[in-house]
Amino acid sequence: MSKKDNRSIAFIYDEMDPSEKLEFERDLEIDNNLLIEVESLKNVSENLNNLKEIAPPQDIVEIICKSAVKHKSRTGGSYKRSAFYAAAAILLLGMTSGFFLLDGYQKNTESNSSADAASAGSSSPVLTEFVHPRATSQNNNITTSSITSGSAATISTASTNRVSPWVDHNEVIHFHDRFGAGESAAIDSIFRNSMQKLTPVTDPAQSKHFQRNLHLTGSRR
Amino acid sequence: MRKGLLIIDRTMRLNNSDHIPKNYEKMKDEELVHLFRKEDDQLAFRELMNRHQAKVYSYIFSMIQNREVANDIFQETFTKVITKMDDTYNEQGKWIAWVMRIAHNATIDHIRKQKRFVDVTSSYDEESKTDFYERLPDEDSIGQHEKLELDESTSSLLKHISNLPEEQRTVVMLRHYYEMPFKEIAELTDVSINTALGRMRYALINLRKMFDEEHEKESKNI
Repeated sequence: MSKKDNRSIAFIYDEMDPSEKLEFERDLEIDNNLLIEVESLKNVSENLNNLKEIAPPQDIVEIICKSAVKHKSRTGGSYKRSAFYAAAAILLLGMTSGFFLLDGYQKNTESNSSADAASAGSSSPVLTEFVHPRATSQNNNITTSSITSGSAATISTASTNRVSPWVDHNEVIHFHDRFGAGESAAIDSIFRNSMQKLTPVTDPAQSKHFQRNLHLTGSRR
Repeated sequence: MRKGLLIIDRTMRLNNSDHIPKNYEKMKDEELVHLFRKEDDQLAFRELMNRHQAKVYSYIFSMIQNREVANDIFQETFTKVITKMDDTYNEQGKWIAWVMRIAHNATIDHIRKQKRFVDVTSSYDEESKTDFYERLPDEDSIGQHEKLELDESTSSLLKHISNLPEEQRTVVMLRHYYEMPFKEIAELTDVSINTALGRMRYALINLRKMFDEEHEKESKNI
């Protein structure tokens, strides 16, 4: 069936563009056969308007409404629960990624500053980070002897890319880093020199940072 | 025991709408669907049922022409609507178009099953030049008892519509009961818009013939 034949249906059911409609109306004026067809189809279509809606049996409607209640009570607001879990997951993800971003940023800035300090003391490109021992700001009792003794500071040759020092309960700094065989003496001297330059942080506000970094800012030269 | 079919006026609301608050009547379908899905509002669902149940039922009944089967398909349709509304229905689309798609699919499934389970010994009759399906008596066609329960004009129209081929009947019913645009009918029935328009045209031409024949018979009887 051609589109032309269907134009009469589109016209009767008012589904023509204004321009198409105008064109079709012009055709109707000059084509009597088309006019007769449109009129007769229109009559049939109008006859269909006598077709009334038929209501479904009320008992079936009631059964359907009851099954809707049952279904909702059975699923128990699954939508709300899933929405809650989704929101919680997004929040957790946001917090975690935020933490890691912040952490990464701080590590970068710290490693940059400590690398600068290390390169100032030696030409050896060893990356070192220092963590402030717990309660340094309170009692200023840095146990430099235990740190510098070498027994407390554990330097491992494990293959770690980043230095990640940490402080245990006895406020001992632990390092894990990779050194070349001939570099350990040089590293020890850098380390010792650095430790000698340490001064306790006098401004407690500076140590309130949640990572408690040890500031290697003071120099006794 | 058989119950009579209730023919309702398009503007009439059903009895069970009495306890639905008036403000629900003013709400759009989307708002009611939202209330039902997200706040488990049963009244919202009832309001949706009140608005569309007669149209959905009329469509199914006009396609099937058997009250018992139409009841089953109607119930099956809304059971699917309830269970799939949380997962399948996308609120961007018209709710009733989605419901109609379910009703249409259930109806067509039933019609095809009915045809499939008949033993076909010879599919083409040389004498009458018709295939099996064309000769198949419409076993769901409206019965004498059903006619009596419907009003005369509706009954007569349904009888003629039931004689139309299935695809023409579908287009006529979707257009008539839902004033569904031909574009949507085409989408629902998986054909081009031109095919949908063509089917409507043939349906009207066929109905015109049937009306003419009926008038002839009546005039002869007089």
